[in-house]
Amino acid sequence: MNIKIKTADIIIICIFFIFSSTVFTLYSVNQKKGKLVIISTPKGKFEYTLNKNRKLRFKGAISDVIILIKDGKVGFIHSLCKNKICIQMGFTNKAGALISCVPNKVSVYIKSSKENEVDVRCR
Amino acid sequence: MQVIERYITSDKDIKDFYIAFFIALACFLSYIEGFIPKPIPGIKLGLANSIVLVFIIHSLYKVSIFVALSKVLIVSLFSGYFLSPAFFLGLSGSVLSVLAMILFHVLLKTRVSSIGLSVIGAFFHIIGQLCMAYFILPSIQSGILFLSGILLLSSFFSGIVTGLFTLFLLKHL
Repeated sequence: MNIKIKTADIIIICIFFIFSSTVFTLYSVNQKKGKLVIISTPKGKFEYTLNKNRKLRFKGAISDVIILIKDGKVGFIHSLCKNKICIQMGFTNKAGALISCVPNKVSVYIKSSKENEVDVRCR
Repeated sequence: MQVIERYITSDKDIKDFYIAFFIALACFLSYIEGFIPKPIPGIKLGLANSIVLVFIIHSLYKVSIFVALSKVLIVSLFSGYFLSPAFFLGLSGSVLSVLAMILFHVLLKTRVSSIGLSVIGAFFHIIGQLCMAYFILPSIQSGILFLSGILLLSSFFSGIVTGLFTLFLLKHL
């Protein structure tokens, strides 16, 4: 079995590197700061502003989760899921950013613009 | 004589034992890669994919699909997320990446090595996961483009690492 890097490999590597780095620069870098945070839980969707510091507690699918909004940033601080990926994602304020706890079915999404001056809205 | 060559030349009854060995090796690799420190959460190397790649490189397509599916099933059973959303994400990613790697290997045959195939596999693993996430997790639909950039770029690098590891496996396994 001949094992060598061939021309097709180099072409594939170039194509996929260009494609993935283009997607990365277009959608993941150059993020604006968001103002509105949407938290979706199994019980429904909730909207909060990022301007006010608060500590929110929600019932997830397997345990309660605590989400902290502080200094314009939002993040998970407590969840009883196994891998704790939601907590490791840290705090963010980028528009379009998403932190989700898949086992608890709770996700936090940051919207770029504030639609109105309502403090909390429940739907 | 290499294990994979012994597998190809062995009888039908004994082949099952070799497949079991390879699936066990894939699950073991999937387990030990948890020990590698990860700077960004949610990103992993996917070393178990190299076992699937070894079969694809030797043109054993049916076995490679079987190994990939068994690996997803066994790892999810042992880590306790069987039939959860994470399981379906992993399943769709694995199926799409195996099919894409087989397609490219059929098209390019010996003109492509494991590094190219591994990059393709990693890319389509992410695509499969994102498509499945779009359907089963409605709450993350709006952030999917933001995630796709990070995941695709990191999958590119992890694909190269897995490809290099597969070169090592092809020489020494």
